[in-house]
Amino acid sequence: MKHTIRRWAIALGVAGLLVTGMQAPGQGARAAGPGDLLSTIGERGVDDLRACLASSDSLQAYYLVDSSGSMKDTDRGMVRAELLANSLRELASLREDLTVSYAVGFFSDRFTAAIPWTVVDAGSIDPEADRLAERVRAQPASGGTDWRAAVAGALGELRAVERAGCQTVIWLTDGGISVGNNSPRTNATALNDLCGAPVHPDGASPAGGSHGVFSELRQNGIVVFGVMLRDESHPDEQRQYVPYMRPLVEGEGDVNGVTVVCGEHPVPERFANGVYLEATSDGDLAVVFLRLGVLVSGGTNSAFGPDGTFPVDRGVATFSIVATASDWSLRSPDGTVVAAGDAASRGFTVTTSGGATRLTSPPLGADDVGTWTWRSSSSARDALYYSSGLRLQLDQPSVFLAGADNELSGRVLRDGADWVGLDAYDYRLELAVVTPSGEIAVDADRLDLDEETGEFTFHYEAADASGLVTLQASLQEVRSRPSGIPLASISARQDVTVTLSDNYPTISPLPVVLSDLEGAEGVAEGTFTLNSPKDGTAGAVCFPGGLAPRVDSDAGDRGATWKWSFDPELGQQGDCVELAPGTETVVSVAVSNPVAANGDVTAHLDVEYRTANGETISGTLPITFTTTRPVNAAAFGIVAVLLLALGLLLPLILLWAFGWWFTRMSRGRELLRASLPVLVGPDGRITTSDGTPLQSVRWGLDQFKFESPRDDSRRFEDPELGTFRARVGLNPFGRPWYQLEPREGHLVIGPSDFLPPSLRARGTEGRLLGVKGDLGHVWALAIRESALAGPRDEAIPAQLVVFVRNPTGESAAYQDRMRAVASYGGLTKQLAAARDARAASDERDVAKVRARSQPPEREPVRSSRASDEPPRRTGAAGPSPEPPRRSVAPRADDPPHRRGGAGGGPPSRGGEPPRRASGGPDEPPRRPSRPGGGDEPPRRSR
Amino acid sequence: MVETLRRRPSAAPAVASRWPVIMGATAFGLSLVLAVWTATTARMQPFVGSIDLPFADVSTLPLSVGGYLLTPIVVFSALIWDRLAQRLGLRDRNFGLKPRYTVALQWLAAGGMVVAVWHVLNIAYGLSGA
Repeated sequence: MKHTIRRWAIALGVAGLLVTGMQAPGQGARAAGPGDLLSTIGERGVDDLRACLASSDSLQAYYLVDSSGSMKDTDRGMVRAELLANSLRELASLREDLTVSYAVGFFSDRFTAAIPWTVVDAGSIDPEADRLAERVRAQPASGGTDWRAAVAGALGELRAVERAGCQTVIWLTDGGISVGNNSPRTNATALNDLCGAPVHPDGASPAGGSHGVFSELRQNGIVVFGVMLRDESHPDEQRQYVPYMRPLVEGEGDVNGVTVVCGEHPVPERFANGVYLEATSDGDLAVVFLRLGVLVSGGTNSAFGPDGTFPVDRGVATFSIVATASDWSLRSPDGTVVAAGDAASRGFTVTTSGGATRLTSPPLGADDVGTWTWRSSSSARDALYYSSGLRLQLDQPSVFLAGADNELSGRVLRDGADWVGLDAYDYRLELAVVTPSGEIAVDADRLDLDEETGEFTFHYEAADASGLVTLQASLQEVRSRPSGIPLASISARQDVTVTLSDNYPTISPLPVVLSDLEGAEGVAEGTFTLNSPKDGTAGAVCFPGGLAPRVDSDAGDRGATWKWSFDPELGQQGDCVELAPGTETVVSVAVSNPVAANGDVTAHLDVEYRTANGETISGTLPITFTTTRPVNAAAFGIVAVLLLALGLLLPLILLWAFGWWFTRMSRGRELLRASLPVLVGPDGRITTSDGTPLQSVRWGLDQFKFESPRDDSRRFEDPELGTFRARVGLNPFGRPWYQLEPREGHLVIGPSDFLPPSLRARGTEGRLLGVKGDLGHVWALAIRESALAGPRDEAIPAQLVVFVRNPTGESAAYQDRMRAVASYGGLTKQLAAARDARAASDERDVAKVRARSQPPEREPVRSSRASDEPPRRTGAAGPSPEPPRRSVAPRADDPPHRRGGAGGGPPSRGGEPPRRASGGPDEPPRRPSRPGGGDEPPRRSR
Repeated sequence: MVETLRRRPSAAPAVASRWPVIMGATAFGLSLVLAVWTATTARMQPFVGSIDLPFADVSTLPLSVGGYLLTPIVVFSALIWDRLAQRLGLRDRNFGLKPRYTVALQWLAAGGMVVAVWHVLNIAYGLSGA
């Protein structure tokens, strides 16, 4: 056992080194004075961990390692990687019956869980340690130091693992808090959240009822070792926040001369205390952790004598010395001198890290009792620690009887050295009860102790039949005889169940476990039995608080909606149930809650037991059950689909419907219409039927006739052009369009506006024309399809229809309107495209007819032509009345094709008429084109 | 006697309103905040059989409902408002269109759909508890 304690000490020491790393050995090292390593609260934290380890066979250690950018300065060589790996090796070999698991997380601006919880044993320790080292090396150092994210992340990792014993967090950082944008308010608010109190005036107050995450850690018995590396040689803009680390970890601390309190304060007895450590350099940190390792393993600090002497009594198992110099020597009582070179050979354990050295003696015996002398150049700063090696062991007791004399037996053991008997010490052996409320009860009534063997027995009369209680035995104020060397206190805890003696009635089982409470409609049911006293007398069980269990913990916020019901006969008998000798009463209990939740519920019922003589003793009846919130999959699916439909599909449908409803051709008032026969020349010029250019005609009300006012509509019929329609696509986000469909046997050409891609082919053929939504801006030519059959160098007869809105009645408006019509330059291309489309259509028709009319045997003759050659007409009369046409080819006198319109392509998407390369001198200036997009609202022309 | 002529004040040309965009953006932002808020309470919850899925705590159901009303309902309403207002504005030849408003609202609506899925799932989980 001596070796296991020593390993634990070494492990913690190395763990500290890991994180901080080592630079030049001894550089900047400043060993803390022998007595100023820990505060009083910190000493309690070490005691808490020691007590837990004494009573548990499992340790879960979480390493929370700073990976902020400043770590590049504090550990340039990344030595912490190997140090951490060595620490893990030490932990794994700490004690044979101690199961050690570990996890690692890094933090800078955020928390990063690096290594999940992993159990290490002798077989897996080396690969695990190597894995740990590699992970630490791979972790880049950058960013700030977000304490809040760090601790929340570590707490989450600790929650995620099933607790199996002692838990500790080793939190290492080298700078003040830095959260988010690192603004003073953000940092102060985060500090207040962590603290659970508005300790920093610049920040917002924490949420009501919150004691902060550190208090939660303490409440869960997790000992936090907070290590702050304050190297003043490295600039730290967050230094103002550094003093807050101690109150966060320990619950209270001094900040700029003011005592700051965090979390539940004073820290309740059942809570674990935190330990704050501070070092000013990496070397100093090594010293701190070497000393901390001794403390955790059971060492107690003492001072050297003025000449470096120190006594050793037979009650001292080992001693350790932490020194910062390497030129030390140690002389034993028999005059033997031990130096650094031969210490190992003489059984001493020497641990060196960060320029500091820890010398641990071998188990001491009777020959070692006497005065030792320590020589070192750093003796003024060296620290001496004694260890008694004592350990408490409690036996698993039988069930305790409330009101009776109960015995809790155990023994004092000595690890690492031979048993010497308790007469080698001054001490006080105590028993305490740790109640669920966190209070520690008074000492036991009587103690039987055999100092020679260390065996002891506490006699304890439990006042209440309170079920499960925790007993704690402790050896306090231990000093060795005769020198009075202070030694560490030791303690151990044991859970026992307190029941009643035979003259009292009993309740079974304890606790009462109900069936699962499933959903809001479910009921958790169970029974418990009230048994008459076992001695054959009568008794009674009373419920002084009524049959209203109090819920102690619940996953949901539903305290006011619990509905408890008990056996009806029990209710009729009032608060007490009388039990005749030899009888029992089975009580049914049912509980429900209209609010369903997932989790465990614990409740209790206050009980008073009465004997036939009227003696009473109080107790509690614990009730536990699990609540679940089952999900109706069908209801989930239906609700989800309905909500999605209501929230997504319905708005889309509405969007489309509104778009459809409001997409209308604007007809409006003061609309005039002119219709006249015209000729369209090969050059695209429009003239009247007698060849007069449009610009030369005097336009006015003789040609433009008022249209009767009509409401806007999605459909208009024009007697010569065809049908105007306002259209919307299926896409609710799509752009509406307005189209002109020609009459049967006619084509329409003119300035084209937006058409969806699916209709652009028809637009090219002249079978559809995209127009503007305002009828006052529309003009178009209606051309008989047969008119396109003529030679391309001849003018084509057409019917020109022009709409205009002229609210002022100015005659110039008509002239301007017709000038704009005459100057339109896209007709040549549109006509060519329409001719080509018609020619292609005709050839397809001819090919079909010829294929039907020719017998199959003549096929070989025709097949002598190339297969990809277009079919040729023989000149024989075919079904088409049209003369043969040449294939698509621009004429020499056609105007040059313009960009975007070549090959009879569709008109520009934005509705802008195709531009000419250069405008004629008599043409009006063109408006700049507008940006167009299919997802934009409908455009209007101005 | 001088006759006073009452003249109509010369009004500035009408342009598309920015309020639909403001309403949509505000609703989207608030819904996103509610989504983050509820997400912080999320944990693996028993769903069906042995399947556990992350859902927000049931106590945050009102927040999910609020988020659902914001996205997509309010955002879509803003989109419809904008489209109709701009389309009706076409009747005024001096009306100033703002296509970018519509584009912005379409993006907000698309993003709102994503956020809405989270709210919908949490509402469905909250309401389907037996």
